Order: sequence, then C-alpha cells, then structure tokens
Amino acid sequence: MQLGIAFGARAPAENAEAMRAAITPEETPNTAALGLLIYDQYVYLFEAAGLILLVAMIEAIVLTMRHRPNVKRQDVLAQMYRDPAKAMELKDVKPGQGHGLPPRQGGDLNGSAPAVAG
Amino acid sequence: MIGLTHYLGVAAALFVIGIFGIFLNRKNVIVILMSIELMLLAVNINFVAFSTHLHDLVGQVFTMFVLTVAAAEAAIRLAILVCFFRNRGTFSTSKTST
Repeated sequence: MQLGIAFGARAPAENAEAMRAAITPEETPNTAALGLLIYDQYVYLFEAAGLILLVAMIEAIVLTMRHRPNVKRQDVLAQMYRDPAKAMELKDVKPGQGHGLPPRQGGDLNGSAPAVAG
Repeated sequence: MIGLTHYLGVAAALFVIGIFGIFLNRKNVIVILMSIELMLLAVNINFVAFSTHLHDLVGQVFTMFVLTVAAAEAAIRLAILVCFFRNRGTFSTSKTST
C-alpha cells in the first residue's frame, strides 16, 4: 500500500488554490516577494532566527575561548583604584649622578611600581 | 521537460547518500557532519521544489529559516569539534578508550 502511495497518481484538491499560504505573485521578482513575506507576515519567525544565530555565536565563543597566561590585558579596576598620591614621586637628581633606584622590571604595567619624575 | 519528480528524485538521492555517508563513515567525525549537512540540503531542495510546483512561497520562506538554523548548527558543531579535539588529541572515535 505504501508503494501505491508513493507511485500512484496524484491530483490536487479542488480548492487547492485557495489553501495556499502565500501565493507566488507573478510580477514581482522572487527576492522582493520573499522579502514581502518574511518581513511582513513572518516577522516573528525572522526575529527568532536572529535569536538562534545570536545564541549560536555566543556558544561558539564560549566553547572555544582559552585564556592564555602571558597575554597582556588591561585590568580596568586596578587602573581605576590606583592612588594618585602614590603613583608619582619627585626626586631631585643632580647632574652626572644616577637617580639611585633599582632597575625597573617589566611585567606589571598596571601601577604597582611608582613612576619617577624629576 | 524537467518536472517535479526530477527534483524530488534528486533530493531523495541526496538524502540517501547522506544517510549512507553516516552509516559507512563511523570512524571519521567530519564526514559524518558533512553527511548531516547533505541531508539538510536534500530537505531544502524538496521544499523549494514543492514551493515552485504549487505556486506557494511559504516553502521558500521555510527553506530560508531552515538554512539559518543549519548555519547556527554548523557553528555549534564546529565548536564542539574543537573541544573534542582539545580533550582527546585525535579525531578517531574508536570504542577502545583507556
């Protein structure tokens, strides 16, 4: 019986033309007609498709992101809570003499070592 | 004259090829994922063929949404594949795992 259904003859129903959900318009081009449908009648589906894409994007980033240890990033809170009174100190340096401070190590750029001006 | 049955035959053939791709390539994860995409494409061809034959644009609208969901699924699938590879170091899905 299933073979009969698969290979048997078919004829459309009598009111098939009236049951179309969205009849293809004859004059407008295909893209314009699709746009008229998607953005007018099925706009909720369009927004849901956008939401699906947003969720997929977030998921792809979340699954594949790795924090590398030696990448320099800004720590905004450390930058904001840096004390301006301790951030700089003035030293009077006589000409021909060094300022007498130990050499600055690299690494922490975000404000634990005070800068020297003078 | 290319009628509706030709399009349906092509879609059915693509679908069957996709299914057999999953059956015969159990070891290779990427080929399984490609076969799933092939099955989605076969369904899309079916939709568009019927939409053109019955002069109803809803089939093509639905095809667009199916394509959107397939793209989202492809992104998620590749992210999962990246995690899979990071944890195991290889793509093989053999049953003997230590």
